[in-house]
Formats: sequence, structure tokens, C-alpha cells
Amino acid sequence: MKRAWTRRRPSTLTRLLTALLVTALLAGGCALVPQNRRKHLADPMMSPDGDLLLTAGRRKLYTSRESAGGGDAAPAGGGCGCQ
Amino acid sequence: MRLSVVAAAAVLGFVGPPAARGAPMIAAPAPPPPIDEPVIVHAPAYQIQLIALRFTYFDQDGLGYQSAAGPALGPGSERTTVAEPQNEVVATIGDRLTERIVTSVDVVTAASPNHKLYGLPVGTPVDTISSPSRINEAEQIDSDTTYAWSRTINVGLHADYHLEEPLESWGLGMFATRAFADDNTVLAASLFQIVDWFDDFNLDGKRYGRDVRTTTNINLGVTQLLTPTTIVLGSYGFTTQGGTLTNTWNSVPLADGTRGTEIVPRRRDRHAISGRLVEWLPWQGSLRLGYRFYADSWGSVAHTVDANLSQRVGRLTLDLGARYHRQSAVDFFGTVFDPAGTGFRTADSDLAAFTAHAVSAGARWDQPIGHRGHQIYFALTGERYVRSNDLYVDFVSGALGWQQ
Repeated sequence: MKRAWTRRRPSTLTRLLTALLVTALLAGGCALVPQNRRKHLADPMMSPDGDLLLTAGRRKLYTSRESAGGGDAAPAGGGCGCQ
Repeated sequence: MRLSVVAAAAVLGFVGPPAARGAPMIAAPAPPPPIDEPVIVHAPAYQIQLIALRFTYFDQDGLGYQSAAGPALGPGSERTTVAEPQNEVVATIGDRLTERIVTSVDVVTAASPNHKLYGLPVGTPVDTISSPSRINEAEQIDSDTTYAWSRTINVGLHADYHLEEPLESWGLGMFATRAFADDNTVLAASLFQIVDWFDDFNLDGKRYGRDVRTTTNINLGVTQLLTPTTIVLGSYGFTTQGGTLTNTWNSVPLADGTRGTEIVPRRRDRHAISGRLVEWLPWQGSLRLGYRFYADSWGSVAHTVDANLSQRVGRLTLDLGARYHRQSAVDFFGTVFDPAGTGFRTADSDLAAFTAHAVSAGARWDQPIGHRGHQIYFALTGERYVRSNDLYVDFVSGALGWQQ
């Protein structure tokens, strides 16, 4: 008897991961901004995380009071007796 | 040509020490002994790039069902304050090596039992009467070393150590970045491993020895320059934890009017995907927008959005920020449980369903000094964080720094 294939719908997580990977591959294929046009991008105000010490303090505040910690290039839990 | 002639003469015996031959013959002058050229090796230049000092004060108040500081069947107090001085030093060693060291100290009120029971017999009641158990100090040091492998590849190592009264924690990690397309695209990957070692107390304050928790975290990220004024970032992080994942003294209300121990699984897997856009604004400003999706194996799903607006006015930079967070409860959350139940249970308000709002405002003053591009800066930031399940935190943070 021939086995019927069941088609599973990809989860939201799988879709987001695929979108991230495709975006990275497409975006990395060509040089978009030449070196001599990056004056604004080099400004400290364009730092994605801002002040590192302040960001670390905020991260500690959020991860110790919310269950959704970790994943932003920083481990979840660990230290502080936090879950 | 000359060398080959001399060699041939030596082989044939025409050239040699005169004493060996008894008579001066051709008598070519002996070459001077070789003298090694002195090689002067300079140590790589050690240069401090940044020194920053920051002091932050957190003031938290609210109620949570995991706290026993209240009625048996109702939420207890989560009142606490934290004073946190921090220090950051960034230095370069030569052209390729960059070292970043951060130290921080947390002085926490109403934090946790007293660690001075270490070494005493198991079952010794915790000191809940005198002041040491009402004030807790935690110290942490973080070190990041980055090596520029080539113009496009950076690799690095991370190490940290955390010490507080009932807990010690060790962390190790490695990270790497690779730039493509004339630095328009940067891919990043990192791996961290943390081991926590802490005291196991029951609800009455008796100590049952030591527990262990391990955390493994891997991250992948990409940064892309989209236009001369736009940067986008995306990242995925996976974290798996094992061991004792409760702090051991959280309690749950029981239907018979008493309190029981929190029981949670010994494994937890977390996934987080985040995206961020940074846009330069033509009036000397910038806008940061971020979104983060989170899901874990305990059943909690969360969405977080944040926005930050910066505006420069001369040497002054002003910041306004807002953040919204919404999460669902873990599968085994509740506010009252069956006393005979043995399944997973928690009443921890951090694991409940709630929304949280935060607004912040800050200012920074940059003051150039000297003629070498050095500057000092002063910064002040305030934030109010409010959770829908009865918790708020105010914090004020001030910083003083020097950089070049």
C-alpha cells in the first residue's frame, strides 16, 4: 500500500528563520554603500545598541523581570539566580 | 661566477690555509666572521581608548504570588532597590588586539538568603534576623578580547565571573565576525557557556547543599548597510538550559492556606529572533526601531518592540526611548495549587502573562579636551518600567567617561 505523504505547514519560527537567511544572502550580494558615503553611518548616534554599559543595565532589568530573556547575542538566564 | 671559481679551487686543493700547505700561495684574505645584525623588537603599543564610570539606581515595588512577604493566598511584596556602580575600560594592544573589561557591583536589598552558611551542616537555618540577609552584594567581571585576524575577519573570546551571596557563576564564550562586499555586510556568530553553582534553600530557610544550572547559547546575526543613512540588523539566538532552573526559595500559594515549593522542569529551550533598523535623520538625529520575537519550551511566547530617537544640539545629545513588551504565561503558571499536586507549578509573576511599558529620557554632553581628539562626556538617563501585573521599576543612571 502506498504511503500517503502528509504535508506539514512550517511553523512561524521556521518562516522567520528562512526570511532572515534569505535576506542575509540577498543583501550581501553586492556593495550598496561605497566607503566615501558612510559619514553618517560612522556617527556614534548610529550605534545600534547605544551606550554599552547602559544597555547592559537595561538588559539585566528586562531579563530578570520577564521570562523572555536571551537571544540578543547574549545568554538568557545565568547569574543573579534568575530564571 | 666568482663563488663557483673559488669553490672549484677549494675542491682541487688550490685554496686552503697556508699552514696546511707549508707555503703561502694564493693567500686570499679570510672573510670576516659573520656578525648578526641587531634586531630591535618593539612591544606592541598599549593604548587606552575609553574609560567609563557609570552608577545606576533601581527602585522596584509591586506584588507577586511567588513572594511569601504577604498573605498566604495572596501576592507578596516585591519591594527591592539596587545600587549598581559599573566600570568599563577599552584598550588596544598593537594593531590587532582589542581588550574590553567591564566590572560591576550590585548592592541589592531583600535579595536572597545569606551565603555565610557555606561550610555549615546541611539543614542549618538561614539567618533571617540580622541585617546581612537583608542586603546582598553581587560582583561581576566581564572580559572580551577581539583579534583582527584579517581585514575582514575578527575573532574573539569572552570570559566572565559572577559572585553573589548564594551563587557563583562562570561564563566562557567565543565569537567571530566576517565582513563581505566591502564591509556592507557583516555576519556574526557567537557561542557562550555558563555554569551557575548556588545554594539550595527550602522555604523555611534550611540549606540542602549545592545545585547546578548550565546555560548554552548560540547566536547568528547579520548587519547590512542599506543606504548611506540606513543600517539593518537581524539575529537569531538559541539557548538551552539544564539543571535546577528555579532559585529554590520561590513559593506557590496552596488551596489549604499554606505555601508550597515551586516545581519547574529541569530543561528549557529558548528561541529569539530580532530585527533592528537604524536611520540617520537629516537634522542631526537618528532613529532606532527594533522588534523581537521569543518562544520557549515552557510555553511562553513574547513580542517586544522598541523605539529610540536621538537628537544632537551642539555638544548635547538628547535621547527619548519607548518599549512595549507582551508575553504569555508559561504552561504551568497559576496563583493557587492543589496541596497534593506533584506536577510542575509556579506562581512567579515574571513567568505570568503580562504587558510591560517603558519610557526613557537621557542627555549626554561631549566636551573635547586637548588637540588629539580626546574628549570627556557626562550622561544622565532616567527610565520608568511598568508591568500590567502590578510591578514597576524606576531607574536613574549617570555616567562619566573619557575616550579618544
